[in-house]
Amino acid sequence: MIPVRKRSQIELFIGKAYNAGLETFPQRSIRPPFLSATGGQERAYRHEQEREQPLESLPGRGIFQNHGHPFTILSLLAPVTMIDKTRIPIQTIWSSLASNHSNRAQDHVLSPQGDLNNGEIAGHADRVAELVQRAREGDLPAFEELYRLEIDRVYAICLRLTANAELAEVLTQDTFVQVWKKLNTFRGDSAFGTWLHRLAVNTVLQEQRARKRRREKEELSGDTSPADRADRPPREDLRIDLERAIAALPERARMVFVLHDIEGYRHEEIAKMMNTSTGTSKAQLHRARELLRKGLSR
Amino acid sequence: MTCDQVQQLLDDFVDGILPEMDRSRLETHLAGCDSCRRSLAELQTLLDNTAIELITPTGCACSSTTISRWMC
Repeated sequence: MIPVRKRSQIELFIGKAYNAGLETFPQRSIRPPFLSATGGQERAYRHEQEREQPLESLPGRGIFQNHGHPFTILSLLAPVTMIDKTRIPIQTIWSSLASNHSNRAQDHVLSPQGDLNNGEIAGHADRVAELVQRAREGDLPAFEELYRLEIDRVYAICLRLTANAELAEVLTQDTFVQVWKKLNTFRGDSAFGTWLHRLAVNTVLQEQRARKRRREKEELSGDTSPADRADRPPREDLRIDLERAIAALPERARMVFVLHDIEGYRHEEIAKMMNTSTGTSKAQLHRARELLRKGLSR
Repeated sequence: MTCDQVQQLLDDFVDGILPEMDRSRLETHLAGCDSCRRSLAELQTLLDNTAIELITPTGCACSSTTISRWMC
């Protein structure tokens, strides 16, 4: 009898539990992204796009323009009227962000055992539910805390789907902008984490489609394929090798691999998200795995 | 079942979604085919390593770059 991979264990590891409704899939540690040197082209394009439009004309931007922080989640939020400068002094927001930033690593590094106990999980879920409710009512500090609690998870999926650290940062921000805008549509039928995860994936997919359209329109001849992005010196560490090999996969194959083998989505779900068929999803997964096997066995 | 057919079915096999009839035929083939067994072992190693090594969400660079940019 040939041993079949224990799917349930793997899924627990890679986030299926999270998708199934556990709000606190453990975040073990904070690691610097190794892909920070990868493609800044999209970001450059993005900035270029933004420069074309006066900051004041963008929704939500005017509020912070005098403070010199045009590119911030808070300043991107709409509608502007929900942010009352007199009620929430700007310095409080900056201080909060700074504080959150400095404490963030501590927040997410778990005990040596690397697990949360049931009480902590339940406490976290309750806290998230409370924050979601408050944020839905326009409570900005609640949204900030929610953002701080969930940013790593959102960034992780954005990074793996794009294989581009800078782009993933931008998409992480875009995702939270969408969270703010769409929070009142979250009915609580699914776990907030599931809803957020799906929103992040959709944000990445939308950006990818927009990029494809731009590429086609501009008929760019420059080669920015993912395979070229991974042209870096080899490293010993297995994780790094894996990450590099995944980043080097063709875009569609990488996305299916990440969604299926890392994030735990089923082919039917992936097909729906990527607007394709389950057969294509399976074919892309097969291709990705084959390329990874060959690439890693060299 | 040929080696090519087996190669196409290995993904469903390791994912545990291969129908029982195909699974039996595939296992019969694997029992007598070193090459396909090697492919299966490689695939399982890849997936196990992926699960073990990539279970940790990577820290958001926003923490060190984006947020500091907001603050500057």
